[in-house]
Amino acid sequence: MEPLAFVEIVDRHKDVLARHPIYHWPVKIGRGYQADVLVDDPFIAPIHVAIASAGEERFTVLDLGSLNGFSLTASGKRLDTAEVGPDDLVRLGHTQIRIRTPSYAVPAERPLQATALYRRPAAFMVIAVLVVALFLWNAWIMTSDDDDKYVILLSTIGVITVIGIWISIWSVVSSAIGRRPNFAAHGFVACAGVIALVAASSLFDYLAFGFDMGWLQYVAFVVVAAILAYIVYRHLLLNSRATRKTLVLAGTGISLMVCGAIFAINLAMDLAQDGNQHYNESIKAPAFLFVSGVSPNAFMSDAEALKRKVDAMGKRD
Amino acid sequence: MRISFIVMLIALLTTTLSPSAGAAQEPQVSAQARSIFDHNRDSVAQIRVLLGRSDSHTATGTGFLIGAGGAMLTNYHVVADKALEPQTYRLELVLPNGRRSALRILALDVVHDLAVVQGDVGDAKPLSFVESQLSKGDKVFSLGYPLGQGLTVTEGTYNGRSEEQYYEHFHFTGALNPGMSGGPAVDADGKVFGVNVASHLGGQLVSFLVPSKYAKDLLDKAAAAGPSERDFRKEVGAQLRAHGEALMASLLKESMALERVSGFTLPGKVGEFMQCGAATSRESERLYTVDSYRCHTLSSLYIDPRLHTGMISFHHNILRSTQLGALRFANLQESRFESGRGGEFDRKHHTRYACDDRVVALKGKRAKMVMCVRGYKRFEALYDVVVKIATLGNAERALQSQLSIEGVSYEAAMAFVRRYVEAIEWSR
Repeated sequence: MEPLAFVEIVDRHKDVLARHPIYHWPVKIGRGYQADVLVDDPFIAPIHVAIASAGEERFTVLDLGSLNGFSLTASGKRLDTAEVGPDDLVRLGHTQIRIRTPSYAVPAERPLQATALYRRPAAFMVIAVLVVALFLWNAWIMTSDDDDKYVILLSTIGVITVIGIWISIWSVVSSAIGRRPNFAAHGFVACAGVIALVAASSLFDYLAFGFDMGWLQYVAFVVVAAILAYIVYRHLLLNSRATRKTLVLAGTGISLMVCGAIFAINLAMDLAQDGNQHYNESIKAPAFLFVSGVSPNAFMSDAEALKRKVDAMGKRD
Repeated sequence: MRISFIVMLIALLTTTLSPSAGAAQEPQVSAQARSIFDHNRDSVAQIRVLLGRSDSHTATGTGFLIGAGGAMLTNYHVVADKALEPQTYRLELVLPNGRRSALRILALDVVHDLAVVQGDVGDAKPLSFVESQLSKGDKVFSLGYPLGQGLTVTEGTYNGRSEEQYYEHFHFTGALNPGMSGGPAVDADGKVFGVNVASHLGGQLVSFLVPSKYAKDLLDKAAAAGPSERDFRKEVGAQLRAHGEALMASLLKESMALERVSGFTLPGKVGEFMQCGAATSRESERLYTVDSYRCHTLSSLYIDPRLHTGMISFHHNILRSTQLGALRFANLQESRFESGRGGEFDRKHHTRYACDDRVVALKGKRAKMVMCVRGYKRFEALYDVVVKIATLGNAERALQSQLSIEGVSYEAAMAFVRRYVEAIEWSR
């Protein structure tokens, strides 16, 4: 006997959890054993709703006096009766169902895709080596003693460990949500992100020095926050089926939280040690200096503003 | 080597020994000291600084009756709390016979650390100033209430004027302990030639006295001003400003003394009252050397326990390396150019620093110049100025120089900063 329709229990990603063939109308849905479709949801009545055919691909849902009633996921409003189509989700208790007939047209078959280059383990290995090289180089630049080889090694190992933990966390999240760890892909995203962060902050540091524009360091902070947001967005994209808009919002939110925390810590340290002096400290090699410099007297007359600033501070307190 | 002064002041450890009990513990001294002690015991009293209405003292010092009219002399730093926070503190005079009375301030001299006060001293007879000059090696005596003990006489040697200080002091070789501040220093005849002020931290029996001529001037000033109640905080501010102007003027009077360090011509010992020294740091594992030259004034002005001002200091560090290469050398410069705490900081006294930085051309060669300024919350038109200079054009040799001027007017500071910056010169 051909089924007349299927009642499908679906999760929030619209994946089907269970599919029940229907051989007669109306069909009763509930938790009791007298129901035609049994759903083990404690928020559903023994006989919760009845569903009847209402023409081609249309169905009528009728509340049979349940406590919690039903609603359409799209509107969320409690209804006594409703006419639904094959793509409407009906919510009973904590369960979502939809009804489709055998004539429902499914989308066309999708072609198999080659794995994107960056998701392959080899790509991750290459970029990981680049990151290690970058940090070794960076640590070497910061040393000025012959004895600093261990410092170089230790600081690099420290950074690598932090990146490793970051990748592992995303992989665990991926396994839990997307059922695949995607380790290599997360690794690539993290390493590429770290390179971008280092490159951007160095670039702004060098520009701030080269063109004597200390305010670029504040721009750098914004750029770093944006890069961080993009990294988080790419990680989320790998393991969530939420819409792009949600992911962008989540990435921005996480980045703002991280940058906000860094900013708050800086501010708190500032307030705790308010005897500190703040100025553009960056000094780079002579080749990166592109301005010829103003006369000291011109600088000192500009610095008159400092006197007015501290006078205002003195009056405020 | 940095020499700092410990200003004798707080006898926090003292239990409340009654002065009469203290007077009974006469120290073991020579017959001459005994006679000094006996002659002056009634005219040298303890001064206590008390918090509000409470009976516990926060600090103690010594004061002595001098001249006609019941005026007493002590140190400014003994009565500073009362002068700056008249609502919070009060002063009490404790006579050797145990009698207590209130005390009020008549005049202050912050620069020489003196104050004229007046209290009820009964019929004690005042001390008088010495007429003739002392000579080095003369036996002299200092009186006071050290660490809350009873009146004590200390025997020592007069060693003339202290060298290298902007503020004139007599050098006294004898023990001055906290609590003796403001006590009289007398010659063998019991005549006052100075006022106890400070002892040297890390020195043995190296103590300082304020010459009596400044005390005489202040007494005259107090007599002329009369007994009106004044706003001493404003007066302290005015004295600090005047002192700053004078200090800066004395620095600018002559052409700047120069010092040549590793190919740089730099400001050197700019005033007689500054102490300067050079050093070179070379460690075998290090790929660079640092030649340094630093100068600072030997003493600072005491304002209150958490605020000293009036110091001028600067240092030059010359970094040199042929092994580091441009990138690593630049990083070394950068790490040594980092901002840090700018000296002592107290929210109550100082505003925050406001800073600006710019690449400047010093005689055609490029350097980074930083200027930081902060003000004083309780004194108008006084500033601390910090100037930093880092040369930029050379990947093997670089100067980092820092000048710090405390407690002067902005204009006076800038005049010296200009001279300082103009003096810096180097060949490529």
